Amino acid sequence: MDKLIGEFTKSEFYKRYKGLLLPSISLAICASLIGFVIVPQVRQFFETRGQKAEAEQTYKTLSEKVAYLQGIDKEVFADYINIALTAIPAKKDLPNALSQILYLITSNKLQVESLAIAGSGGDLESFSVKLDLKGDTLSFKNFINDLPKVPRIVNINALDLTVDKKVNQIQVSTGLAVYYQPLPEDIGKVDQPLPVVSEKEIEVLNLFREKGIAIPSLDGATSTASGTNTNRSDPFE
Amino acid sequence: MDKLSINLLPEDILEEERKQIKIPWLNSVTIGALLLTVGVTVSVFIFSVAQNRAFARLNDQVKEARDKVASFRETESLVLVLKSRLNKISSLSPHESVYTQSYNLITSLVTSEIEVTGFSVDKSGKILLGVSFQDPSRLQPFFANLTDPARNEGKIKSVRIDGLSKGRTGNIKMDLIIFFSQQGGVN
Repeated sequence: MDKLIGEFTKSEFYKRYKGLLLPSISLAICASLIGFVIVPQVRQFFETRGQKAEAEQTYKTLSEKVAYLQGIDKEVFADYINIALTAIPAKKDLPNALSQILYLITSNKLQVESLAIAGSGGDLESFSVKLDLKGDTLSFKNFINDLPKVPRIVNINALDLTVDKKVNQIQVSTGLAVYYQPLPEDIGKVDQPLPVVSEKEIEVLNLFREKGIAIPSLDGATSTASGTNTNRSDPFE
Repeated sequence: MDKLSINLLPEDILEEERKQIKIPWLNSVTIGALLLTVGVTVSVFIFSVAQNRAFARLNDQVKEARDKVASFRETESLVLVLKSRLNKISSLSPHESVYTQSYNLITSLVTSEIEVTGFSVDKSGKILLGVSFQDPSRLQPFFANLTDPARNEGKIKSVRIDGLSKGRTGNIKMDLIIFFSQQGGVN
């Protein structure tokens, strides 16, 4: 090896270019530092910066979530859920829906000629109550205007009316869509932002509570809607 | 007086020096570049270490916050269930349906001389209205109500007579097709 170096240092090439040796070594070191340290580190810097921004956003979301969750009264929210479940139950709950609709019909002095239940056929989780009613015009008008007062959400989805002048009665064929929504099986990831329940939405719930007082239903929904808490804090239980 | 300089180096060495390529500023420039590169490398490295430490600290905070949220999982489920139901409630309940609105509007526009014999509406707002009357001259106010946006709140887009017949008793029956719009608005 020493011999090889000795021969190289004596060579014409070495003698001619030895003045460029130091600059060449310096440039090689510079290039290595730039290529193997600076560029990867700078690239890493931008990657980490992106991840850090993401982590900061996650931290902010989680902190807001914790602050919001800490301020929640579980009993009050359980009560709100029970009211919401009165409006849209987790199951079809046919007897309750029918009792509320029939209560409205009889309180408006209409007669039920026929009643049939049909599936929804739409995207929404609902079923349809087909009704043939008889009565006077004013009673029917009151009936359709009172429908929003039913604690369970019920919307008209068909309306056909004929007037029998001889007996001064109207014959109504109508369809009512009644909604339900199963409870969610999964509540999502911890990092997901938590939707905030607004004051306006609480007001809507209070309206449903009042509806529950005005129109009775068959089961526990009555007591819930009238303000008695079932103390079921976890709807998944 | 000029100094006398004598080069005592042997001739072969002088020849070697003459052949050697020399760029006088190159050494200082490359050394400068090297020092600068080393400086930048050290700075980048220090900065990177500092950034990684800050990132690790932040990750610890995120983990801590996640644990905290996990301890409120039951409350979170209450909020999510309530919110999903409230969303559905707001999408279904706030407005009067086209059926109720159209029925209320048409019954308010029918004048006392006109009798409604049939009313049917579909979800698009197409109303089939059957009316009967004795005196055709009484029809004018009813049509005025149906066609004047100021009276029908601009909710009736068009009115078409679909059928007209007169019975033996002189009673006239008329079928109308009315297009109802929930938006309304008087132009």
